[in-house]
Amino acid sequence: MARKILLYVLLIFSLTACRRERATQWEWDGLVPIAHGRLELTDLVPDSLLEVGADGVIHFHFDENLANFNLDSLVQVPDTTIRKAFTIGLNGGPFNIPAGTTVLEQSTDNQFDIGGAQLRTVYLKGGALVYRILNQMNGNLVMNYSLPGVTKDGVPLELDGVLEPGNGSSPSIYEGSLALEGYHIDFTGENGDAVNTIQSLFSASVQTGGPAAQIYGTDSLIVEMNFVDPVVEYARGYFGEHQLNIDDTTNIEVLSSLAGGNLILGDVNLSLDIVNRVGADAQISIHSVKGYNSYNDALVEIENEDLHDQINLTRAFDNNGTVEPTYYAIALDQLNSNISGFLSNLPDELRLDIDLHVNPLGNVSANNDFIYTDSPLDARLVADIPLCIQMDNIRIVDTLAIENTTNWEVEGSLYLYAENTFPFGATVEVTLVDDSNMELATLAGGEEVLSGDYFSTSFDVAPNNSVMELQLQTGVINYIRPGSKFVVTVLLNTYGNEEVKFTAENYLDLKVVADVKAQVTVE
Amino acid sequence: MRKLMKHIATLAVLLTSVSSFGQSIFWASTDSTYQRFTNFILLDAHAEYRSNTLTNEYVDRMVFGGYYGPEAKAQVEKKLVDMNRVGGQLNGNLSYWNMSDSLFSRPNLGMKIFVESNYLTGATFSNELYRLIFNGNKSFAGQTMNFDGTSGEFYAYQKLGLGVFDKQTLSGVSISYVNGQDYLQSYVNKGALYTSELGDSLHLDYNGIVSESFSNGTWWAGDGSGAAMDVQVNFPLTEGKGVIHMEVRDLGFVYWNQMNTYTADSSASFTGIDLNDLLDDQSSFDTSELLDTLVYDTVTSAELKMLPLTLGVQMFHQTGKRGMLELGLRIRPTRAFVPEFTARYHYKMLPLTWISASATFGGYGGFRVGAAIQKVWNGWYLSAGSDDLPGLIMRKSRGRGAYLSVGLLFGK
Repeated sequence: MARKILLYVLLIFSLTACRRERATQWEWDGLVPIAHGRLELTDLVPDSLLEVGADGVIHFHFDENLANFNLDSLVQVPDTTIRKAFTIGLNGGPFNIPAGTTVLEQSTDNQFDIGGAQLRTVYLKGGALVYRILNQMNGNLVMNYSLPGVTKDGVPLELDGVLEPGNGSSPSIYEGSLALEGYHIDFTGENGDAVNTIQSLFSASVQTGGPAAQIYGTDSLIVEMNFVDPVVEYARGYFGEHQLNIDDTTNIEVLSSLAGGNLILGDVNLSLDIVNRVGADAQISIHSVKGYNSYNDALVEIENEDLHDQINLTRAFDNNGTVEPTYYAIALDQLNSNISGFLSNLPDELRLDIDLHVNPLGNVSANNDFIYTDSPLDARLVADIPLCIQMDNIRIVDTLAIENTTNWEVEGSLYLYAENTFPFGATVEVTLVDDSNMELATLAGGEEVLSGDYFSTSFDVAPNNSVMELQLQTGVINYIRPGSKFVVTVLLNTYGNEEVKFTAENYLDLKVVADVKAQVTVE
Repeated sequence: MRKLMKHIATLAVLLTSVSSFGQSIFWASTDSTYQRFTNFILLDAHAEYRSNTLTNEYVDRMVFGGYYGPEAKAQVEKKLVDMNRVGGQLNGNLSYWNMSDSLFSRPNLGMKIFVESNYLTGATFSNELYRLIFNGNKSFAGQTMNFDGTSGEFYAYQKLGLGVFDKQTLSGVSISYVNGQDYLQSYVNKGALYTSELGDSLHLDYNGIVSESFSNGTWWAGDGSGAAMDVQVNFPLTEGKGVIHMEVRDLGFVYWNQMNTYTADSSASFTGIDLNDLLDDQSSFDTSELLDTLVYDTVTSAELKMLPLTLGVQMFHQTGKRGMLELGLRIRPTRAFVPEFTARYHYKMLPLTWISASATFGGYGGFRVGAAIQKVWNGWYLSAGSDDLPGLIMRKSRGRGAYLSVGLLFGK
């Protein structure tokens, strides 16, 4: 007996020395607050889009840029390489050129091809100048290369250096680069009356204190100046006459989740605003503005008799750096257009087809067109929609992709406690689908958040409380893995399916609580 | 006859005294075997854990892993009281006793040296803290779970000691250098978690302190040094009928060079993430946010801390020719250890073989019964036993423990 006890004791000691090879697990039944908050319209829609009207009703302001006419492309200085070869102007050789002797001194106007534009002045906000000077002359040469019209803070761009001796087959190379941000380019050349022209000055002399240079008449100094990716900030000149077509699609994020149902809007005012901040005349022809609902595959085009008229936009005025733009606006409402039907289609895409004719009358400004490239010509759709609306099964569908999973094994329910003072209710369905959209599980099937009780005379809403349950049944957690998705479908209905008015007093108080049986694992 | 009985009692005290942890006893034979030797080496080991609540199955699941299921929980929960205790210790000791003719020209004095390693742990916890951790807070919706008085302690230290003892009574004293390996003391003065009726808010009140100085788990990496004294006093009963043994163990301290002390007196509420922050992309669901809201102060300094003192008293009284009754009381002034009472009966089966049976109550646990066996042959001594025999084999028991001593008498 004593021997058995002794052996058992030794066994216990040896076991406690063993490494633990499996995790400890137990079940844990808990209530855990997950989330809380008071949601108002300003939480769901950016503040900048909402405004409270005089009657207390919230207005939805929609201001979407439909198209930027990027006219800076008209003045884009292309990647350009200036290559000039300079000789001493003698034949034969070699000539013995003593130290200190100037072998070259030359001024040159360099011409640029900038599409149809005739530029006089450009300010750059990016790009680089890559330079290379090749010396075929057998002597140490002190050189100076300057571009008097290319300045930064009033200081001309100048390159100074000593060129090592070279020869015709193996010239020495002097090279480098510098950033062009902040440089001003005067394209008027040496005499100040040209366009697209940059003056350069180049001089070279045999280095004093050194040996004489041995130079043949065929030896050259070759200058290569390469403007790489210059980005224009401001340009002045004549931009040329151009015909452009804008066939563009714009996504409307704020409406992108609305997937169906019937939305009846109150008095809607919508304006198509065209703003010209460019110092060039333009003619605009709007062929079509269409709204596309991708969920219903429904396309509605705005119908208005003024919309397709040719629009003549005069140039903007440059008031010492302050641009005074010119405007053109087309007002649309229920009386002169189908704008209600257009918006009730709940478009999540706007499709625009516009022709733009720049400088239709030619160079009438005597090379004084201008552009600040950050201030383009653009077209905006501006809407003022008072939230007096009627919703009948407005369907919002959103998909939440699952990127990570936890090792927790849980089952139970998520409870959503809602106090709603919005004059609409919601029916919520949450399903879990796989990567091919096959349904794996239903977490909530038609749970309802009740509408607040709406009083049409005062617009007041008395709160209603609801409890919604999302069930995390046994095994569901196994489906929650990367590749699967939650699909949340919400059906919205206004109180009594009537037209209701939204005010700043409306809110939805939410509390989310997990009532879970979890398998706690301690590795 | 009186001389004979004196020898019996003396040797009983000898082995009780040399046993490092007061749980071994050697009842000498009537031939005074030990007196023929002048040296004694003893290797002594003792391991136990015990609780008034937690079962062996619970400990197995926590230590070795596995599923801690409803049946195992029920075994624990039926014993839960307002304040529950658990603790344990692991000790090893190697000692050398010299009983030559004379020490310091004092023929009655002997000398001993020893090395010893000690690990002690203990904890107290409330009924509701256990239920929060292992059952959850759901059944406490709308109520407050109280954690007042929850505590934890852990000591790991080694001793290198030198002592003298009286050969006749074996009363003695030893002084030790102490290497501090690990230290932890924690106490929750006030702790409560309120779960709202719906579960939409949790509110935590807490007031407590934690002091710790932990090495990387090896004894030589400890960051403290100290000293300790052990004292044993034996009073023979009249007419050699027994002995009263009193001892003080680990009366000492460790000076920890780097002690971290965390104090907290605050409260925190958690209502989940704010949906408004979520809509602003400023938040995600992360339980660490709750931890981030907990407020505490941290101070790091050198500190002197006392060792876990143990006080013991035992009375051995002979009953008949073959029997001896032992009654003992052990006290360790820590929160998890209550006074421990032991009654043990020793019986001489053979001239050099003894068995004993014991009943113990207190310490880190509750009532348990044990048994032990001791034998001497050719100068060798062996003792093995347990205070809780059922605990060695039953999962529903609330503790396990065993001790083993091997000694050698030599030199004449």
